[in-house]
Amino acid sequence: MTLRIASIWRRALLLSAVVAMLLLSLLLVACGSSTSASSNGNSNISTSSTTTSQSTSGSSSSSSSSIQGANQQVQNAIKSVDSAQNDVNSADATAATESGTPTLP
Amino acid sequence: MKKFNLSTFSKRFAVFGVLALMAIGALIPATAFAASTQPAKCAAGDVQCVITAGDTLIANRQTALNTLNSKVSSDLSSHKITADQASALQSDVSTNQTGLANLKTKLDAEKSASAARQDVVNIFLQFRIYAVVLPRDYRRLEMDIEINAKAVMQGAAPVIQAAISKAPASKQARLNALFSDYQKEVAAAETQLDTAQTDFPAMTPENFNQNRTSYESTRQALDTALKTARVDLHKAANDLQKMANILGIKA
Repeated sequence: MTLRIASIWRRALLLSAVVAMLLLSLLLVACGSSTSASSNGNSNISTSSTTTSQSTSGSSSSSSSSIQGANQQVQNAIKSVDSAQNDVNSADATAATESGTPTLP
Repeated sequence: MKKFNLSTFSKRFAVFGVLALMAIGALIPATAFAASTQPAKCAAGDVQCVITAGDTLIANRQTALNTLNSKVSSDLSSHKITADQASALQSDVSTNQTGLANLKTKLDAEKSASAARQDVVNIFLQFRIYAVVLPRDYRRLEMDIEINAKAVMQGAAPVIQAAISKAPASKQARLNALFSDYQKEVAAAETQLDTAQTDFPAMTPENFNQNRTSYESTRQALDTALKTARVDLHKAANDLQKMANILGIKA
């Protein structure tokens, strides 16, 4: 009986350890992705720390929306540039198949 | 002293062996298992075999050109490139596809294996779809998109200036410094893109076949110009994002 209780106790401990490890790894993954998001250049930068300084006057609000639109356009254009660069890399990867002397059938 | 246990030793050795094999398997590049891109060998006088192999080479190139054409059409409909920019690329795709189709007609009608083999050589030498056409045209597409990104940034300048002029005095100095850098980076990108445009005419199958050193140096110069322009555009976009942040604009 004592042996059985000890075995159940050991299993419970093992299960707790596994759950703790799982939680720890989830926490680490979450920390990692938030760090990479904050260091990932320009496209999705959070502006929450500066939003409080936004002016509330009419003309300033309209210029804010204009610059917001301009910024969005520019950031989208940059994404397109990066995507085009990836296509160049893919084309270069297949270029090697034809760079030498052709092997005839 | 610990007793030597043969059974435990052999079990451990087996586990180690399996792990070692798995590690070696992971180290072998996946390309080693990839299907060969070279045509199958035909018997010396087997015309039909050479024709079939040549047709496959042509079909693969036509497919790759179709992919480029679709990409150009998609970029045009999403306004990443203009109609003129799309037209220039589509025209090049069309020229190469027609040339390959004509070569296929000639190849399919060949009666001797040596003539058929010469047609197959011409798939490579005359067209260089993989080595020259696709790398060049995808670079032109990238350049067009960079030119358009630069134009968007230039167009945004008056909007940015207007926003800066309405910003609180305490933020003006920082905003003006960022705007000045923004304009400097956009101008630097423009210079690089002007340089890049001069490199394209030399990127031909003829130069690739006959003057490879010059061809490669042109390609490298083009890559440097496109990369530098890309970096400049990124810096300008970062400047704008920082300005937007200071002005309290959400992304």
